[in-house]
Amino acid sequence: MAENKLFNRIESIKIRNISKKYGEIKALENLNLAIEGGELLILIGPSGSGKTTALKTINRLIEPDNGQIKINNHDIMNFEPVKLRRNIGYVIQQIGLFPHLNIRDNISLIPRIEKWDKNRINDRVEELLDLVDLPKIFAKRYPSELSGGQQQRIGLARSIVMDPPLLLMDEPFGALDPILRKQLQIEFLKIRKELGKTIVFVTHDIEEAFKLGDRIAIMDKAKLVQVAKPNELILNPKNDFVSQLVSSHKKFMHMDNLKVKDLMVELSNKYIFESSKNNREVAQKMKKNGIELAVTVSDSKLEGIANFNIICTAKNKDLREVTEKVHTFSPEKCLSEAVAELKEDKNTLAVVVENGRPVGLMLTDKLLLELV
Amino acid sequence: MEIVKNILELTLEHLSLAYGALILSIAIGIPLAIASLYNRKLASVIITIANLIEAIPSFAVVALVVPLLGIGFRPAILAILFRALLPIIKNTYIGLSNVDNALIDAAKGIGMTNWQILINIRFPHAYPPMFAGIKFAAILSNGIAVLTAIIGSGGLGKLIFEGLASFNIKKIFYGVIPVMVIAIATDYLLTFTEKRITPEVL
Repeated sequence: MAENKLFNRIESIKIRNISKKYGEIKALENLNLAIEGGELLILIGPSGSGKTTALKTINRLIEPDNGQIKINNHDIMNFEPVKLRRNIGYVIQQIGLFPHLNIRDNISLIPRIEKWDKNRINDRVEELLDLVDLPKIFAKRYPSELSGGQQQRIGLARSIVMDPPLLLMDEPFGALDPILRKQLQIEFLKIRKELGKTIVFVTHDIEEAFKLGDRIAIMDKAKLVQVAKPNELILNPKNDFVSQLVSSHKKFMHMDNLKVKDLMVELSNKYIFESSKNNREVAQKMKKNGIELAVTVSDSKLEGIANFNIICTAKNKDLREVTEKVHTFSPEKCLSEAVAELKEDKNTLAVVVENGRPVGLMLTDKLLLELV
Repeated sequence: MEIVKNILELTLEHLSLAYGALILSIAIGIPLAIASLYNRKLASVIITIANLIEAIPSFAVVALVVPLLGIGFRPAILAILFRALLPIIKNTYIGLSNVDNALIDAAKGIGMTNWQILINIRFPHAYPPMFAGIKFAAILSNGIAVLTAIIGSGGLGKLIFEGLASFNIKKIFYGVIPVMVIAIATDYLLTFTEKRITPEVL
């Protein structure tokens, strides 16, 4: 059914200045948002913040009063709504499986409407059941015979039966108990990797947002407040609302989302010494600058570190001879992993290295102060 | 033998009267229920009228038809139609509109047209109340088809009224028994059809 595919891949979704009013109540106010192809964008905010309204404008379940939405630079108003929706997967919190149809018929409703042949439908249903990790015999069961988690998996399977490049998910795990929710999130991340789709995901659970989102768009009172990567939100919250929402004052909660570069101490030039230098000269400079630690390099590449006391006891030698090996991290390394490594090696210090050059220091005591 | 032939003829007349009116009511009522679904004004008008007419006794409706349309078979059909139409419209409308919003949202979201949602989602959910309405309409039709003998519709009511007038108990039974058989058979037939087409889980 190639003629029914509006787009094979999402390059971009551009939401420009859309607003929606219900009577006097503003549901969306001048929303501007660019979604990149392949990313998972989270829409988060308190109830009534406009997140679901924003989501539903993308498949035209809600049509904005003004503004424009473009997918791959095509105005979506030029697409027929039904056709557009068949190219966009849609999953809702209430799941919305049709109780009078068995799982196979629930998943294959649109393929049947589009008159796929029976074998193709059966193959696709089995393939999707496999993807969401349910046995094939479930095809013949009815939704009421399935648990909440199983139903939500079918909801996901149904949404991608037409292999849409874009998936809209409206609090898909919102009705599940916390343990099941965590489990499904992990499975969802796995499935997401296999699918490689662009996903817009509404939630009110900030933990879920951090766990799943490539970027997070925070909404409040019908407006977009800030959209950024998780670590940027934690480090540079735009206002108190964002700061409260992401608990940016409690950075220790975000060790998994922060990177080494986010909390390293930048290394200024005064700490860096060529390893061929004489210790006497180095010691003098260190004393003058009041520093206790020298980071030694050779040809700008990191060699190691040397302590002021040791340099002073070997004044006739070169810096190279008193340089010790040091633990190094890349700036992009996940902070929680970095801290775990330091703990294992019983280190309190590491040098952050980018392309061989030292760019920063990780000091555990400093880190601790930053995190709490 | 003459009487058997007479009963058969009148039964046939009764059937065409009651069933003709019932089939017409279904044919008019279901499209009207669908139309009401997409037009709130129409829905409120129809439901208001339905409630009003339901309050009028059947006999009064039959009587009312005479000054408007005269007597005979066709006015009788209209009198029955008038009563039978409303439970069908009302129940079908309620059944079609009482589908969980989340299901409609999901159906729209996966790209079904309004018509596909109506056929695939709304109707299967509406069958139980719709059939209850049709059954009720069938009982009404059968009953009013007896009454309309008074305005010259013919049918089994004729036998019953003649029997009553001449105090001919035999004649009364000749009329009443087929009416009862028809009532029971109709109910059985509709229940059977409903079970056949309603999805098991609903």
